[in-house]
Amino acid sequence: MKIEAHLERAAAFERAVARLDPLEDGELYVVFLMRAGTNRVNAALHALGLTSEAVGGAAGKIGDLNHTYKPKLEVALPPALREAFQHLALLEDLRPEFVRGPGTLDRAMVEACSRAYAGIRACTDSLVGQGTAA
Amino acid sequence: MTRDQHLAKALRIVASLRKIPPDANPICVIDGAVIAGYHLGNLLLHGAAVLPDDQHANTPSKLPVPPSRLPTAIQPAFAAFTGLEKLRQEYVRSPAACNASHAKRAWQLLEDMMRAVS
Repeated sequence: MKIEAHLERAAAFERAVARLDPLEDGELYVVFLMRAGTNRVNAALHALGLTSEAVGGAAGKIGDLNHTYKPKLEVALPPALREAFQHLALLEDLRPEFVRGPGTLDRAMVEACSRAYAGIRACTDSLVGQGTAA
Repeated sequence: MTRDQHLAKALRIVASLRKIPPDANPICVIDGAVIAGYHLGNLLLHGAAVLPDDQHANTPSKLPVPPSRLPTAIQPAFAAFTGLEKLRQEYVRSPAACNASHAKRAWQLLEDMMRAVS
């Protein structure tokens, strides 16, 4: 998917997150932050030329990642992106307990999620720009 | 998770999803509907003894058997869940343009699933 499309999707998920109460709506809060983060990471990977914007990949490069671990990305990442992956993995790892499982977020978890997404933004801003597409 | 836990989660997620405007944010509605569908679908799978309470299928494409071989009583709900998964693949994970009609379709499919558990 094109960088611009990823940024539009990230912005859409950010707007949705802004409508949610993280404690009441923890399941979608986690998933939507994860989707926004995944789109920003995909945009950054494309911007660095590490993955292809073509659907399914092209020229020996894979296309979009659905998650940090899928499809497997077998290229060296620059430090900023390694850090973004760590933040994104934190959000992904909450799903078994809080999205698909019976758990509900508490304030500490909400703050951890918020910090993780802020970290993804900080790590990717310099690669794909600070603005979010309208 | 037990059926009661799945139902409670599904109802929470549906309540959250109602906060997202379909016209302004259709991809988020589709994505959220799949998450609610996960809980409704697994509730049905547990109830029909397709899967025990400690095993789950994330989406219809991850079922241990094809949807067409599920018990007849839950096939309509899984047809709806399959429709939700398809919407997500086409509009959330792919670049196709998404609009309010797709979000409305996601709500229809989710409501089909909710009727199946009521």
